[in-house]
Amino acid sequence: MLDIENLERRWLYYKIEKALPFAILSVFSLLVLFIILAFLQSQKVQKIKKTPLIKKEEEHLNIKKVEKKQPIKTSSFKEEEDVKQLITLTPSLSFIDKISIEEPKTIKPQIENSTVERQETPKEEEKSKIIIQHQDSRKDIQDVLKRFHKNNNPVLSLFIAKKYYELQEYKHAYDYALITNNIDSHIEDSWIIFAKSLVKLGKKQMAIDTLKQYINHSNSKKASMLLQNIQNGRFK
Amino acid sequence: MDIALFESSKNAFLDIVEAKEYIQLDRISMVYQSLQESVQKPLKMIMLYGKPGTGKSMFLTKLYNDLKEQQPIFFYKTPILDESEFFKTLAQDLYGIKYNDTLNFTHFMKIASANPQDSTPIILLDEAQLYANDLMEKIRLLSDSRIVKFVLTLHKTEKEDLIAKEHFQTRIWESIELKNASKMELKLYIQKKLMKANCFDISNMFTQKNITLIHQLTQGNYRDTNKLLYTLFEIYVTYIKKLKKINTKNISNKYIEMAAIHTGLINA
Ligand SMILES: Nc1ncnc2c1ncn2[C@@H]1O[C@H](COP(=O)(O)OP(=O)(O)OP(=O)(O)O)[C@@H](O)[C@H]1O
Ligand SMILES: [Mg+2]
Repeated sequence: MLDIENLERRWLYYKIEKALPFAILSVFSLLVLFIILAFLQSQKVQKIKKTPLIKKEEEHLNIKKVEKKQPIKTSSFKEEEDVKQLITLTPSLSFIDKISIEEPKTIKPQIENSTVERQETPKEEEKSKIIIQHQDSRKDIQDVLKRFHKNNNPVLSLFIAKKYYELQEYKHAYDYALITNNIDSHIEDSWIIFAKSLVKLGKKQMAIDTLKQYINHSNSKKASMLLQNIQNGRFK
Repeated sequence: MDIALFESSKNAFLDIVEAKEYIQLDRISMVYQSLQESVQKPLKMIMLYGKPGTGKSMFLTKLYNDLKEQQPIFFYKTPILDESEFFKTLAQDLYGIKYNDTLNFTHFMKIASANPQDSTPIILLDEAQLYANDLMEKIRLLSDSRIVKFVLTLHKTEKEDLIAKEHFQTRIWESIELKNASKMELKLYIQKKLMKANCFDISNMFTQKNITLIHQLTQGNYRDTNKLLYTLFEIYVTYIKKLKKINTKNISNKYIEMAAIHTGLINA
């Protein structure tokens, strides 16, 4: 069942986070407005206070007023820029969230490990062409894996199993055939790859038993043929 | 409202590719019709392409289901990687011939010419971008010789765009692009799915604002829409189980957003 309280909380944060820039912006613009108004007000008061006292100084004061006004105006602009900076900061925070959400994937590191393994194993005599092909396969696997995690489509996990089998990584082939089987146990090819990988992993008897079991309730010709070939030693 | 109604609405949006789940929408039906017509012409290979979740596999499944009674048609859902195995499978499916040893292209062509067929068999290849270039080349030759007619789907990524340039942009190809739904289509899609599941009352709960939000979140992608709505109804079910008072007059945008957070369409 859904953890609805947690979801509600996340939704609230999401709403706040979404509203935050606007809130900050409006608070700051209000503040700026307030400062300007307050300043203008104080100027007026000063003017009123000063005019009756010293008439001669008026011209001098006027210039001062202009001088005073300018720095304050620019400072208010600066504040607005600060506001903008504050706003641009928030999306980057959510980006960090995103990373931390995407991190805990279980199968991905396995693949990365095996990439390392694989790149170490090819003998130096091997032609560069073959290596390129292998890397292509790797990329295929990783692309498909990404999509598999999104849609849990057995067609894709079966592809991964087949690809690993082709790369002679039978343990992985076995794993993904099993995963495929768990999603949909009626796919003939996943049983075939499963059994073939078992033989390659030296578990011939287990392969035979599995195939027999499968043939019993599917009448698969392909499986019978493989069973024969395993039993008479043509497939090893 | 009855909790069972929300349960069946939820299940209506399970991500399943089955012919009986197929939904007709104007644009989709038109594309489908042209696909059915092209399939009957012997000359060209047909390529369906489009982003993930736009219904390519659904299309093939539907086509397979509609034609399988009338003519020989075979559906390979997962690419067959090994060349020999590919031709062995073909020989088995098309001519009922079993091969234990390796079977290469030349040998297969000999078998094919020894076994002429009344009507050209159709082979549907899903996820065709995963076939190796060499094998793809032979598939093309096979198609050229009119021994079989291929319809294949291509999952579009940058790498596949490249492939599309090399192989697929020749005259022998007819290409059909599948796209995400427009807002209007998405509305119909949701309504029709719910109608199919006999959830009329639920279907009536959707407002234009709901649809706009859903379209904004999913960009009209069918798979994402499935996920989103599945979770949306799961939220409703959960609330009802918890005996919380909820508005059953309209769908709440808040719950849609919560579903989007849960499915990762919104990062929060
Ligand atoms: N015409 C349709 N009728 C009903 N449901 C559909 C239709 N088109 C797509 N869908 C739904 O969208 C989901 C995704 O469609 P599908 O698996 O065919 O996409 P795809 O294009 O093959 O994706 P990918 O490139 O990832 O393989 C399906 O599970 C199905 O529920
Ligand atoms: Mg597909």
